[in-house]
Amino acid sequence: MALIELKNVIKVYKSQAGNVTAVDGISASFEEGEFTAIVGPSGCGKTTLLNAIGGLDRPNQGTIKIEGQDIAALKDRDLIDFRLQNIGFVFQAYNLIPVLTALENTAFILELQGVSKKEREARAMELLEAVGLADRAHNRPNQLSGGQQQRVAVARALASRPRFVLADEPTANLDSRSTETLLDIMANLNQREKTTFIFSTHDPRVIDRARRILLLEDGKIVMSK
Amino acid sequence: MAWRNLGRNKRRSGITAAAVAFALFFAILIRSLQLGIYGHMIDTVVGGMAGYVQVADSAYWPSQNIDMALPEDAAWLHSVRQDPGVISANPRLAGFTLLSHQKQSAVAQWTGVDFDQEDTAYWNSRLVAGSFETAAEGPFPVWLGRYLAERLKANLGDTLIGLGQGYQGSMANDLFTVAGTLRLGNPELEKRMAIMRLSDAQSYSGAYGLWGTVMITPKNPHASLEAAQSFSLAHPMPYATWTSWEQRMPELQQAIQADSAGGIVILLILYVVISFGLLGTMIMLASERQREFTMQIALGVKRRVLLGVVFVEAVLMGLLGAGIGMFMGRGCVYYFHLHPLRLVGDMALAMEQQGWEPILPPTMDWSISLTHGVIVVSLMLFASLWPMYVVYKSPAIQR
Repeated sequence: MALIELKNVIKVYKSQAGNVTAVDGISASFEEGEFTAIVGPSGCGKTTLLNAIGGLDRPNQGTIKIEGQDIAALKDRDLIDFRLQNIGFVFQAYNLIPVLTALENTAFILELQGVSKKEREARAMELLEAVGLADRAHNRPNQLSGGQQQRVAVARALASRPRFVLADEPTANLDSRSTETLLDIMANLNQREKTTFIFSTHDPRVIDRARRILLLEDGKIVMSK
Repeated sequence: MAWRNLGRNKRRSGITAAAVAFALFFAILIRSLQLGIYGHMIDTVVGGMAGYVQVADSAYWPSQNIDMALPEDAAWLHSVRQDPGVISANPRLAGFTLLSHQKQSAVAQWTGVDFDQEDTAYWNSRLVAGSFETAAEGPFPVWLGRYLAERLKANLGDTLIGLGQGYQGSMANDLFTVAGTLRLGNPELEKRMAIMRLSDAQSYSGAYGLWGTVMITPKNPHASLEAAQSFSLAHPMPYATWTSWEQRMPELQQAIQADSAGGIVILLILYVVISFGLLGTMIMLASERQREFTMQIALGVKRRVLLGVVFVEAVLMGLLGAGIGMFMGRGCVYYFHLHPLRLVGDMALAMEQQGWEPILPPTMDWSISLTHGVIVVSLMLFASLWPMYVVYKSPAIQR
């Protein structure tokens, strides 16, 4: 059984200009341990597809099953809990909590899961070491560069050992050096922790590192390799 | 996290706490002054001269006719004084007379006071000039209200002639020696009061063995009405009526209530203005954090956890402001309690014309600070409903 299975997923947004079909009947599956890039031009539906897979947005039609569980059928409250236990997120704008240190941000999800302080700090420190930021563990986000913040965001996404990580244009705000560093880290963690990574991007450097690529155009998968 | 959030926008947190602090500061100051002035009015007029609770013959009021005096009853008076709800019970005898000094004459209200039984500290605090130590021989000593003394152009040691109506149609006439002048806290009283010893008053009027009234100070003067009812049942006296000051002086109570209502309206306006200020800062807070709320919900933070963080943040800001406001308010009130403001010029004149001493002594009653502390913290929590609503409605994605 595939880790994630999409069947005929359709997402339509209503706007003043009329209905916009962001995702148009996509069917796809993702296996455990994948390192997949969803690519395509702006407005092709990459983010909408990621939001639907992550349970942040509900499709108008179709099913999204994660290990056989149809997440579209979950109630809002159950969906929040499902995300907390199963999915890691990395956002384009890092979205760290400004009043927490790098260590606390990394341990944040574990705290929500009720993991003991000792255990969550050990795990958070392990991940900060993995992303090369152990020495910045007690710095707040405003004391870190953009690349460092995104590395903390990756550490946060992985802290709870989620079933998979969704990263929406994770390198969009990073310079080339930070991008390379981040990709190395994500690839290493994918290998080491066997965590599935699915990210949207139109950055060629990211596409080069992906082991699977889905090309989207007008809300449809036009190529998979 | 809520505590740390206070520091992320120090200016906003500071403005919010300052709004709460100043609202509470002004509320405490305004209300303490207002209630302090009322308390001063009641203490001087009611506590000193008329009594919070008064026992008199049922026909004594409203004429205050000396013919309706009560017979002395030492046993009854002793039982009243032994009542645990009573601070003091003092018989008085009062009437009206014409006082003359050289070419000056004035109508005066004489009142007989038993200085041996009454609070000497109170009377000493009222003394402007003279002494309560008097010679046993000679004319009756009398202590005049300071404005009455001015009107009669009478100084200490001067002799006055008194002429008036005594008990049951008898003529009251005698000589008096000015033994002192008094500040009674109420200019109207100071224009007409002539205080003398109770035994002298009985001799002067011929009302031997009689009391006009017995004035009682209950332990809780704010509940005089209830005290009058319960004392009357516990210590019955034939033909006597027990009245509270509110019953005898409804005009004073109504004036206080009307003025107090004006003060409450001012506080309401203050609170409305402050509420809008607090709401404004809370709207800013919600607007700044909208993206963060959304992100946290996406990560799996339950809305109730976010609501809790926002609520605790509002509570902390409210308590911080309330603490500062209470410290400032109580400090200021305490200073003016020790050094009461004394009005001068037209304001003082206007107040004196209404019959009150032109000073503004604030009350130190803690209930004012606590009540208004609760109100401002509640306003803060009310304002926090907006960011809580924003959290509640936040989606898991930014559109």
